[in-house]
Amino acid sequence: MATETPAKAKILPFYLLIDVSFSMTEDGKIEAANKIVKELRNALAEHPVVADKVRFGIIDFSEDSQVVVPLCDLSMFTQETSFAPRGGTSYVAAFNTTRQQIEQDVDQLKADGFDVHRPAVFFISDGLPTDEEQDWSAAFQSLTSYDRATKSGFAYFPNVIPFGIGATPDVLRELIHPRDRSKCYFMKDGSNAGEVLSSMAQILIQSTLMSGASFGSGGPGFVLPDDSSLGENVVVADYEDLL
Amino acid sequence: MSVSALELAPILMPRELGTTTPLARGATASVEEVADADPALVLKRFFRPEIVDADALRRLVRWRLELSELERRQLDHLATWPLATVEEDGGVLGFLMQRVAREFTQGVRLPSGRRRTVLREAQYLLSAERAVRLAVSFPDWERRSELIFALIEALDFLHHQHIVVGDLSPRNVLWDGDSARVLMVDCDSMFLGGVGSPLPPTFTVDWDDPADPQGAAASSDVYKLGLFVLRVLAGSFQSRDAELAAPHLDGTGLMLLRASLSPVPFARPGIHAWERWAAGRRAAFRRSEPTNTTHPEV
Repeated sequence: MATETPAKAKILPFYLLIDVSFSMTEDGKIEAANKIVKELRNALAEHPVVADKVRFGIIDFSEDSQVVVPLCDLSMFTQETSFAPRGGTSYVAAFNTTRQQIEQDVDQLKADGFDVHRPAVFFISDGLPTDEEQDWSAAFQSLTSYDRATKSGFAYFPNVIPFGIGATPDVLRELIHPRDRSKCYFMKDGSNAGEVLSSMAQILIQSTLMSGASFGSGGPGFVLPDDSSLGENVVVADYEDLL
Repeated sequence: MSVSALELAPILMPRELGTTTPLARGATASVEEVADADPALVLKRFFRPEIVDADALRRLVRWRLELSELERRQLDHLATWPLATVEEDGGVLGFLMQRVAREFTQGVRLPSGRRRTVLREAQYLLSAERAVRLAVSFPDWERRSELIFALIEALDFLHHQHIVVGDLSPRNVLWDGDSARVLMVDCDSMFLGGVGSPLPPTFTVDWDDPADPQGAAASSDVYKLGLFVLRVLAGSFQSRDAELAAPHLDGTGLMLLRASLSPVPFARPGIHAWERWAAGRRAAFRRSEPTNTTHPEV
């Protein structure tokens, strides 16, 4: 009897794009950021079915941007990682590096025979960009714009979920992509930034686990946790909420 | 007065339960310890009760109560079935179910070195390498086969009662290697008598039926059982190639697996065919007969 031709394995790439400007050294933020990587690795190791489907890349940014952990099965990544604070907050560098990395990674995964789902980017920043608005806005457009009719733009454009600890909601709002399905998360006034980042890490981990278990059926490719499960120091908003 | 597991009313009010303490959070609900109930019971509380089909949930509770005592014991042995709905102002907040017994949990060592107790989900049966990294035991071929027989038996019982599992995936099946038992969880996503499940159906990626990715039919359950047999025996997260399991199955088992993974639903066997095969293999195991298959460990 005929059996089905083995289907291609599905992969959901995630990127953590994190601000390492000097201000991240205040209020325990950089320590909390380093903990995110450890907690993510633990969470994925604990869920082998999800770990098998999810690939994670980590990119930092300040005045420049660097790949800290290349896209990989993070649960199997044994190297210790820690973020080194540097000056500046260039969103342009962050978005350009992310675009370049996604293009390279998705091409490689496809060449390796995987069925690659749309990537998702968790963007974490504790301040306003030091670039001109028109520059970072253009870099974000270059990362997220694609016209299916003319096939112009970036075909591998990611979904973007911004997290702000100090970044103002009107800037974060512009980084929600797509605007009708993604959301942004920011710090409630008067909260401790390091603690907020820990709460945001839980959102990010939950989203990764839920997305990794359910993507692939024509859905958006990422799932955000129910709003009722957020920490009390985090505010969630969609694009319309922030207009 | 404490809510008893033995004399449970089908509908309870939150005030009858006393205070509740969260034990775990999932995607759609939290599981909570209940102060004023038998400790063998826990509350599953929905995050968004408005998306739950309350009538479908009540139907699952009533159906269990209408079973014979023997059937009810069988059901409770293989599934954490909804035992009573918890309702307020005409809406369902959640339901009581049996607490997962300790033998269906295990301690894992995470990459950070921290130890954590987790449910022993079937996802830990798919990779010996990942099991080693988590410092948990990985059952040998014979024990994995016995767990497959147990799952077949559970599915045979459910299909006989016109229950379709729907999202039959390694997250929804727990196992205990010592007793060779399985326990099915997330029963509020199951379908009774072809009617919709209480929770909107979800489908685990790479555990879908290509003939009907969003549907729930007995033939889809058999397809997913085929994936389970293949992946648990061959040690794979995503393969759909029945031939990978050839070294681990006898001729009849391999034939059933090939047919179960057919893209054509009506070409798949019923669960009874699997059950007959499992009963025969189980008897052979008990007689300790040498098998005519090889079974290299994965």
